[in-house]
Order: sequence, then C-alpha cells, then structure tokens
Amino acid sequence: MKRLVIAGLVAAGLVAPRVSSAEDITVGMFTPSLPYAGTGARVDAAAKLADHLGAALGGTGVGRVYARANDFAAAVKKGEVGAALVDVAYLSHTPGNYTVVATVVRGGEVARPWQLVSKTGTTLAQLRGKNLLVPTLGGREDDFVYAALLGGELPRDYFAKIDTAPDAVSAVAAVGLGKADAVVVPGGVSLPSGLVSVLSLTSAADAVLVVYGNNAALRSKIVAAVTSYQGDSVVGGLRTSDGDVVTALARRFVVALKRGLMVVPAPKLLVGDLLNGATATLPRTPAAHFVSHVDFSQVQ
Amino acid sequence: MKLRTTVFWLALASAGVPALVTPVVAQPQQSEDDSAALVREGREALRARSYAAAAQALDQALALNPRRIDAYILRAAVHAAQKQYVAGVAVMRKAATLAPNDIDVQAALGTQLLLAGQVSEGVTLLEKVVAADGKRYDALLLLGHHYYQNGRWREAIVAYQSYLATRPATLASEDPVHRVDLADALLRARQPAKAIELFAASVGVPRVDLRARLGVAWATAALDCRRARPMLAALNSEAKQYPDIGLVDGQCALATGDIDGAMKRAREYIAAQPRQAAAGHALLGEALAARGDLAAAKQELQTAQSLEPSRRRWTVRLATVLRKSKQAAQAVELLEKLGPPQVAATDAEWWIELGEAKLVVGNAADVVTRLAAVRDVIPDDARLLTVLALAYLRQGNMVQGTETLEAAMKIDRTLVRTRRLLAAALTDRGATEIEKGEFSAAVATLQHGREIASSPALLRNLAIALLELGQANEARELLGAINKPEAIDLLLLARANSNKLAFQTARDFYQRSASAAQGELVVTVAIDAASAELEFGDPANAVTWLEKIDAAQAAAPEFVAALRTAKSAAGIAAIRAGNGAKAIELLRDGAAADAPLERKCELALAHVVAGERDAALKLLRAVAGKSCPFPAPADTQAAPILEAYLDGLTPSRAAKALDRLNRLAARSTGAAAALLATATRVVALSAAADAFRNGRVPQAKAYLAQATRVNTRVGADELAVNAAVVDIAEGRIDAAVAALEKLTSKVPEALITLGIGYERSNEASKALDAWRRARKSGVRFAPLNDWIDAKERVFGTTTGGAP
Repeated sequence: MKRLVIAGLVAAGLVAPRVSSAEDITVGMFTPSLPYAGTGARVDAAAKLADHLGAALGGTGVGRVYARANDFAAAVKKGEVGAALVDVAYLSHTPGNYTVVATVVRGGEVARPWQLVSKTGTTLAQLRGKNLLVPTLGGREDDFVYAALLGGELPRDYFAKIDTAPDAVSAVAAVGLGKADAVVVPGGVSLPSGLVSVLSLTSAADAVLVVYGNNAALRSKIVAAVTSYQGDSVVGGLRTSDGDVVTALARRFVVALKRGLMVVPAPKLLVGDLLNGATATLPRTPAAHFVSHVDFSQVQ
Repeated sequence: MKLRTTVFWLALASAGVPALVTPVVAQPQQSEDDSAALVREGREALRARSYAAAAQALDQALALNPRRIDAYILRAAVHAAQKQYVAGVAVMRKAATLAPNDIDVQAALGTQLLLAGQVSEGVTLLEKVVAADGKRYDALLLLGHHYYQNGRWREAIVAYQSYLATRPATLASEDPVHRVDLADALLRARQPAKAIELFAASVGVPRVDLRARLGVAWATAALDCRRARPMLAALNSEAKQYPDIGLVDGQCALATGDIDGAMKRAREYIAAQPRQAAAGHALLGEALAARGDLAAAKQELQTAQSLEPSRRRWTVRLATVLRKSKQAAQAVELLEKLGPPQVAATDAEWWIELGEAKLVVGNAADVVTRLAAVRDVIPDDARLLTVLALAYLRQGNMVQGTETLEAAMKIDRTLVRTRRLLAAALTDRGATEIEKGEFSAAVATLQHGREIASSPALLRNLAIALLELGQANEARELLGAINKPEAIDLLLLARANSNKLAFQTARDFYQRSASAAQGELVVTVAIDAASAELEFGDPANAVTWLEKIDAAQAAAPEFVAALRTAKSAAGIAAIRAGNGAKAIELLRDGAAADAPLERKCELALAHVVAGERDAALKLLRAVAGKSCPFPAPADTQAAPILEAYLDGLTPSRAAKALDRLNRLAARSTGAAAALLATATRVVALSAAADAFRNGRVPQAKAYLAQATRVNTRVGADELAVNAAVVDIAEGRIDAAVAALEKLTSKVPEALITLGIGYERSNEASKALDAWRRARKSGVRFAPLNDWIDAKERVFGTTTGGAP
C-alpha cells in the first residue's frame, strides 16, 4: 500500500510517475466500467496487478488508478505507464501505441452483454426523453450508447441527455438516488433494490490489459504472467487475448447505412442447360449370372 | 401254413368239386361205369382221410380205365396226403402223357412237383396254368405260397389276392390264414397301410389272432414308430414266446431316436436266445452306429453275420456301417462278395446299399448300370429309385435323374431325401433355364420344386426368374423368406426394392450385401449399388459406393470404367446444383493432358460454376474449336462465350466483356444464343452489383438497363430484385417493398432488402421478420445476424414491437 500512488488524488506532476526500469513497471488502471465498490478497492486491485507483473519482470510493480480519461491519456503520453488495465469502451475510440495482451475475466466470462438499468417497472418506451448515465469512456458516449450498444435501433434524440458517471457503481447509485432516469452498465453489476435491467444490450469485453511501447521482451514476460494472475472479487483473472476485442467494439461506434443486396444468378443457371440430356448408366451384372447350380457330387 | 398242408386242403377241395376233375376219355360203357364208381369211392375215401382205401379204389379205377384223368389226379392227391411225393409226380407225369394240354393235369403235376421239391419245373407249370386261366385258385394259392416263401412279395400279393377272389366257398374257412399271409406280403412289400387293414380284419380270428395283432403292430411300426410302440408294449406278454416283439420295439426305438431303448431291447434279445441272437446283434450294431460308435457297430454286425452267414440282411447292414465309417470300398467289396440275390426283387436292400457305397467311391456309372437293370423288377421301391436318380445326377444326366426322382415321389412322397434331391434337381434345371433366357419355364420348374422342398438356392433362382419377368414383389417375398441370406440374396433384394418408393430399403440391402460380400462379389455389389443410385438420381452416392472399394480390386477395367462414369455423372449433378468445388473434385482427372474431351469440357464448366476464372479459362482454351458434349451449336460456341463471361465477372473488365458478348451474338443460334443471353445478363447484373456495393448507383442502373435488354428468362427475378434495391436506395420505398414481397419465394436474398425497406418505413417488426426469414432460408449476408440481434434486443425477440 505504501508504494501505491492514487493518480486521481495526486497531481501527476507532484508524484513523479516513472517509466519502468528493466525490472520495475508502473501499471495504470482506467476501468470506470468495472464495478469496484470504491476507490480503495480500485487502488488495491491496481496494486495487486502491479505486484504480480513486477514480480514477473523480476522487479517491482507500481499501481496507479486514474479516474479521468484525460489524466490517463496524459500519463500514457508521457510514458509514465508501462502497462495498464483499461476499459475496452475507452480504447475503442482512442488510438494509441499499445498492444492488447489479455482480457479481464469477470464472473468466469471475458465478455457479457451490457444492460440498460432503470427503476423497477420502467419500460424502454417510458425512457424516451429521459436522462441516461454511462460510466465515462472519455468521449463519444452518444455513439457508444446509440450505435455500439443499441445498434442504431433508436433515434439519436431518444434520450434527452446522456451524461457520464465516474464509474459503473456510482452511475447505478445515481439512478437509485433519482439523479438520473437510467444507466447503461456492463452485465453482472449488482443492482440495488428498486432497480432492474430493462434491456440487454450488445455484448462486449469489459477491460483489457495492454502493454505500451514496443518492448517485445517486456511484452513477452507480461504475456507469460497473464494466466497466473489471481485477482479479486471483480477481476477474477486474466485470459490471453489480442486487439480484436477492441476493434470489434470500435466498429460498432458507427452504424453503417443499410444498403440493399443486389443479387446475381448462380453460375449453374448459366451452364446448366448445356448439360441437359446428359444421363449416365452403369451396366449391371445380369441376374442370370447369380443363379445357383447344384453340385451333385457333394449332394448325398 | 405249410405248402403240404395247403395242398391237402386243395386236394380235399378238388375231391369235393367234380367239375375240376372231369373224365377225359370214355372207355367201353361197362368199364366206364365201373371206373367212375371206383373214382367216386376213392374221392369219398380221400375226403374221409382213408388214404389206403382211396388208393385202392383209385388204382382199380385206373386199371379198369387207364385213360381216366380224374383218377390220376385223385391218386396223386392221395400220394401227396401220404407224403409219397415222388410217386405223386410219377402218376401225374403219366397223366400228362395222356393229356399234355389238360390244364387240370398241368395244375396237378405242378403241385406234385412243388411237393417233391422240383420247384422250378413246378412253378413254371403253375404259372402257365394261371396264365391260361386266371381263376385257377389252386395254382394261385400254391404260387402265392411259393412267392411268399421266396420273398417275392409283389408276386405273392397278386397271387393271394387272385386266390381270395376266386376260391370256392368250401375253402372260405382258410381265408384268415391267407389274408394274414397276404398282409404280411404287403407289409414286406412296403405297403404297410394296406397291410394294416388286412391284419386288423384278422384280429380276434382263431388261429391267426396273434399273427394279426403282431402284424398290426409291425405295420404300424413301418408307418409311425411313435404310434407303434404302445402297441408293441401291449404285446409284451407274448414277448417271451415271440422275442421279435422286443426286436421290433427296439427298431422303433431306434427310429424314434431312443438309442438307449434300442440298445436295451437288443441286449434283451441277445440274452433271451444267445445262440440265435443275430438279429439282436444287428439291432445293437445299428444302435451303436446311430450313436456314432461305428467301430463297435461294425463289430456287432460282424457277429450277426457270423451267427447267420446266410442272412443277407446282416451283410448289407454291415456294409452300411462300413460306408458310414468311410470304408465305402470295403462295403462295396463285401456286397459284391455276397453277390446279388438269386431273384433280384427279393433283396432291394442289397441293391440300395450297393448303389450307396458305389456312389461314395465315385462309381456312379456302375450304379446306373446295375440299378437300372433291376428297376423293372423292383419298380416300387422309392429308395432304390432315389439312389439310381442320384447316380444319374452325378453323371450329369439331369433329365433321367429328375424323371427317376419324380417316379420315386409317386411311390412315396414322404421320403425326405427324395424330396430334397428332386428339389435340388429342379433347382439346377431352373438355373439352366434362366441362363437360356427361358424365364417362364424356369418359374414353373422352380415353383414345382418349391412345392416339394424349399432351399435358399431354389428361392434365389426363382426370385431371379421372377425379377427377369418384372415381378419384383413376388421376388422380394421369396428372398425375404431365406433364413440366412447371402450377399447375392441381399443384392437381389436390393434390386427387388429398387423403385422410387422403396429405394432407401434398397440402399439398406445394398449395404448389407456389401458387408457380406467377399472376393469379386465386392466389386459386383458396389457397381450394382452405384448403378441403382444413378438410376434414381443420386450420382454422388454412386461415387461413394465405388470409392469404398480397396485399391487391389479397383484396378479391374470394368470398375475403372464404372467409377469414371459415376464421377462424371456426379460432377454434372454438382455443376447443376451449383457446387463447383465438388464438381471439380469429381471431374479433376479432366485436367490431365490425355483426358477425354468430354471430361475437359465438364471440368471447364465446373470451374466456371466454382468461379475459378483462371482454371476455367485454361480449360476453355484447351477445348476451343472442338466439339464438347453440349447441344449444338453450343458444342463449339460455348467456349468463347464462357471466356467472355469469365472476363466480365471482373468488374473492371465487365464493359469490354459485354461488348465481346454483343459481338458474338451475331453468329450464335439455338443453345449457343441462349447461353450468350444468359452470360450477358449475368455479367451485367454482376457489374451492377459491384457498382452498387461501391456506391456508384448511376453506373449500377446503367448495367441493370443493359441486363434488362437481354432476351432471356434466366436472371429475370434477380433483375427485378436489383431494380427494387435501386428503388430503396433512391427512396421509392413502397414500390420496392411491394415488388420485393413478390420475389422473396424465388429469390430469398430479396428478404434482406425487403427488411431494409420496412426499416425505412419504421416497421421494425416487419423488418425483423424479413431478416429472420432470410436467415432461415440460408441467405449468406455478413451483417444479417447483427441486424437481427440489434432489432431483437431493442424490440424484443418475439413481438418486435416498437418501444
């Protein structure tokens, strides 16, 4: 804990986050969608992961938790983060020099449908014109909700407003407190009494472990350490993965215009007539060939 | 009854029937009257059994009139009564010199000769008498007796039956005795059913009761030993006096499979009369043989033979055991040493066993020679005829063999071996008739055989004949009745089921046949199954059948040709089904430089269907100018048209390809013109689709217009769908939706655009329904599942209702 630095509380310039040495690594964490109960829990989770990866590298690891996307982006930009656990939703609209090495395993799953949560008894139709909260993903929240999660099935003005919350747990709490009408959060987030999942949305991975920079040796060691990581009640572990989980969600941020499908006759229609009249037969052995004569030399 | 007793009774009868002994020649009246009186006196004395008085009176009568024939006859009878047989013969010979043609004299002389032991001459004379007058009861009875004693059962039967029909009433009291003799002859002549009637009629008649009861039991034993044994048990009290009762019971025990019972009876018989136990040893030997102990059986029969060397029966039985002990040559030697019976008909068993043993040693020719020679004198022994028939069959003389077996069947329909052999002979004849193409005759032959005894071979042959006559249902029933069908039977069952309704059943039988087949039949079954698959329109299965054959058998030329044909047919079917990759796989040997032209042509089409442009072009150029097996004039014009078509499928070359196709149109007719029109439309539609995908709607419209101008039915629906796609893109939603609704059944891909149309009309549920139908129809369109998922998430999986 004493090695822990809370990025959200400590200005980046005051506590000097460093680029990892050959043995040490700084592990960032920007995962608003993961349902940690509070900041303390996030800090502990980051520290645990940093310890694990640091040990794998033969040195020490430092965990840093970021509450805001900008802070995280800045730290990355400065090279202060060697690896990070990051929301897929954030990465889906944020390019960067990273390599996805693992996906978070939560509740035994690496991906699950997001959900639209509101007060018990509320229907989707009743949410038209209401305010919606979403755990922050550092921008493009509208695209995330309307395109990525709803597949463009609702008009862009369906909700009156889409606001961000610092994280999934606080977003859900806000709805419970009446500060918002509904929230979209990943599946598996515990809902307080009075709230229900109104709609199941697109499935997506929660968060991924990425390695920044082009240090292949470092990346290899981290990859090797992935499967042995034993996390906590939220992030149970990690499973080796690649960037497809990010690009798959990224593609959904834009709803493609549905165009019709032109069809072309099958080539068989072209050549089929050429083969009309082609019949094949095979000569069979005449049945008479199968008759049985009696060998009377053997008959008594 | 002894012969001499018989003669006595006959003599008495003659004495009481003047008509039989009438004077032949008259003397001077006085002497005639005196001699007649003396003859009467002699007759009366004979009737009173006063032989001396009779002799004196008759001698005086002859002294007075030596030409008095009746006196000679009566005098001879008196000699007979006094056992002076030689004298009796002498008297009758004298009479015969006086009246050589007198039938009474001949009868009396024959009788006296018999009594004197001059059997041959006596029997000849008596047979002459009977031939001249069938009602000569005296001669008939004597002959019957003679035949009986000499085992000439059939002749004895005739003689006894004739006697009983003609004898005078005065002799009726002796009938029971003769009836029992007749019954006995019938039994020994293998007519037990008739024997039983006569024996039964004599039961309770004094003097013959026991014989009658024994006869009933004996005859019943000959018919059905199971029924006979209780009867024999009832005679047990007589067994001490007549040990043969136990012997017959033992034989019945043997016949009914009670070997222990048979051995017990045999041993009892041996113990009861050790010095005359030959029959017991013989029975014991037979029982041991039945048990399989042939060595011990041989020993017992040798004992029987040594105890009664003159009994031919024991030798014959010993020969049987030797034959069964695989010592047939010794059996033949033993029988030949014994020699045939003096009178052939008296020992059918010898002939039968000789035939059996000679058949085993492979001398069928000798069997035919010897048994055929006695057939006339033993005409009603079905077993002898059966052995003779088998000898004919072994010689390949099917006609004689079959006829002889039919004759045996007429005598006794119960003999299993005869039935089995006749059925086998008919099976073979049926096979020959089938091979000659005489199917109706074969059916008749084999149906006849089936009525006698069925067998898998017979049923198979009959089924083949019926199949050839187109009677598959009947054939199927017959083949289904075969207990353990062989591979050929299963193959024939498959053929019998080869119709549209039952073809899956046929396949199952082919499968079973293939599993059971061995050797060359493996290939035969595979080709047959493949042929059926081709006939019923599944050439891919035909190929599968043939590809199961292992490499060693697959080299046979007929198999190679069959596989080539099947693959060609399957390849063509795959082309028609639009499965180009499969077609290429099947027809790939068309790529070889020395492949036949037709295969190159087919393979080129396969590549066209598979969209493998380069390979298709290479083959099309190879066949250019040659005549492919397509309808003329497409046989030569298809190649350049298809080359242009293939070029046109590359979007950048579509325009030029369409120009080329337009130029070719000028000289294309018939099938080539149809191909050209289709190619043009497909190229234009393909170019339109590409342009549309890339957002060049005006260009897409231009290509669609070009496709519209082509006069062909092919692609008309696709053209309409694509026009609707343009309508959607340009906002004419309602018209497009209406058009697409009509096209979805023919072109399922239209459902994609139809769904878009509904979505644009804010009819989410109809859009979802259209896309679901598209998915169910197997339409391949990458975003389809996402679209459905998104709609279902928001609008629900069932109702699709708006939020």
